[in-house]
Amino acid sequence: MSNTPDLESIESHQEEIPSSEPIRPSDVTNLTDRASSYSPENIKKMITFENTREYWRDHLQENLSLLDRKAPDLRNVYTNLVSEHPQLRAVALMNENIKSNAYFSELAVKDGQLRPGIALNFSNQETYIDPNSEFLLRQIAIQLGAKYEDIKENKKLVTTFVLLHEFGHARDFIDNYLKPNENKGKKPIVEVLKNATAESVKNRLRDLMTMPVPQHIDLGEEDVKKYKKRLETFGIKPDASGHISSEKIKIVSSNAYREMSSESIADSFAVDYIIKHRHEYFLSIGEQDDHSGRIKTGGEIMMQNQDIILSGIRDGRCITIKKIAQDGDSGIPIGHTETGFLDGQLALGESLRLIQDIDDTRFTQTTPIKWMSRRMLTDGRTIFIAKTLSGETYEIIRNKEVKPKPIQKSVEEMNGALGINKGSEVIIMKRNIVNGGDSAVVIGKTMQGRLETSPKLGEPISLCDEKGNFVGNTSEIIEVRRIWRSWRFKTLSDSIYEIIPTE
Amino acid sequence: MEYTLKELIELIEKLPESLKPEFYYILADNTFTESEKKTLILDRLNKISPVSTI
Repeated sequence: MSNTPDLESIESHQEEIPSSEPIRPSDVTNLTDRASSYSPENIKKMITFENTREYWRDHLQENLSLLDRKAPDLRNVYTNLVSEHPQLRAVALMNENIKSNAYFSELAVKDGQLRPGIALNFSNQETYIDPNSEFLLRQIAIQLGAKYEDIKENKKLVTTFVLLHEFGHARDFIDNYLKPNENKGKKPIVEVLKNATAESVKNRLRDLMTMPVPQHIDLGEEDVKKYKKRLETFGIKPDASGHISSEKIKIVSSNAYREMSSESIADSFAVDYIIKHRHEYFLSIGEQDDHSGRIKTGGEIMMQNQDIILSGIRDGRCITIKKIAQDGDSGIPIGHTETGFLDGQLALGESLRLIQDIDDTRFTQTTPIKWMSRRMLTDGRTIFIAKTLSGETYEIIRNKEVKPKPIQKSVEEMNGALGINKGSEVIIMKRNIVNGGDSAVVIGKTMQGRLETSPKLGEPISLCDEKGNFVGNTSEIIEVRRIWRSWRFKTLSDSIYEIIPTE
Repeated sequence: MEYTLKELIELIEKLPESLKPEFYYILADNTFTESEKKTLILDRLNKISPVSTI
């Protein structure tokens, strides 16, 4: 048996750190050598009674002073924000030389004291409107009901959105993890902060694992090939020549990122504020541009293919279509509605096809889409309109909470659908957090190898390398499920794995 | 190409001091595997790695 750790027995290496000193910046070199053997004990030395004494301290005056000096345009937003959400006065604003946008840290440090902090790069505000942020700005435009072309040069709106988004992260952390109403004054902040940070980081990891490809993979050509089957589960398919567009991977990834719960909470917080204070950012209908930086919104905005994905109308999304107009005759009456999951990525010139699940042979399909537009309603909802080549016009509604259900399948169906058997190369990705022992959190861990035997119910899956050497194994398979296009199996030890063929 | 943990730690060294603690926290938390640590660190580094001063 090889010494390589298997997926079922991830070792929590519990080596004690000899030093009792807290980590200092100068210790980083040592970290390089010792990071893999650090003990959870060390966390206790990083969040202490001494360095959390000021965690709830009010930073209102310091923040206002900083904004007055560096970004007076944001003073009013900040004042409104802390008036509406007083708990956010504990968040310290910091002027830091960071790469782009802004950043919320639950463990920011100043003068030896931990605090919730938002870093902003006031000395290089152009980074807020980085041309590389096109997909982000397009998504912001969709959420605000504005044109991308109008907001991409609008520093006031973008910087406001960026600041609000980070305060959205701060509010999420404070309200949903620190829970001051339950904990403040009842439990020591050091204890509350440790638990909150641990839970927040785990949830972020869960979120990141919903991305098409784990973030530590820098997608080179070989990796794209390796993850081809996984990318297909996100509707990213090779073109006729077998090439997978890196642009499409970026767009789909950008959308998946904004759909992560931690990001969508922050986005919603920002959008809700801007819509509530819309008169400060948008011109009213019929109002002339007064050069105040306010922009037009509302009305019908035409969409490009990338906007369709970025708006969340993507493969596997549950949507409802409602016929609202028809040029000429049709057997389908105005007002007819259909709900289902979008099968494949919708694009201009292609049909919109709805299915109940990928095994279900029944479907609803329109003729190819001629154009699509979006319009924000006064209540903040966005409606999408699609006109087909045959003259039908549909309203498209994104159904937020409906996801494809896991469907129980046999191992043989899994093998057949994925085309895997003995010798096939696969990636096995752990999908759940196993609590037990020292809480071996292994979600997202991947292992690649060839199947030693064809997967069977009641038997473990064992992987070997090209030379037949043992790579790793699971315990016995007890259940198989398919969720949309992905296949997962559960093992005797309550672990759940996604299995992805690489060829 | 995948970053090694060592390469990521070198990038963390260049961050503003105020933002380093949460990176240390992730590095020190051995309930996370190495690939999980890389994922969490890259997620954060993508947003805040220092601006080039060239």
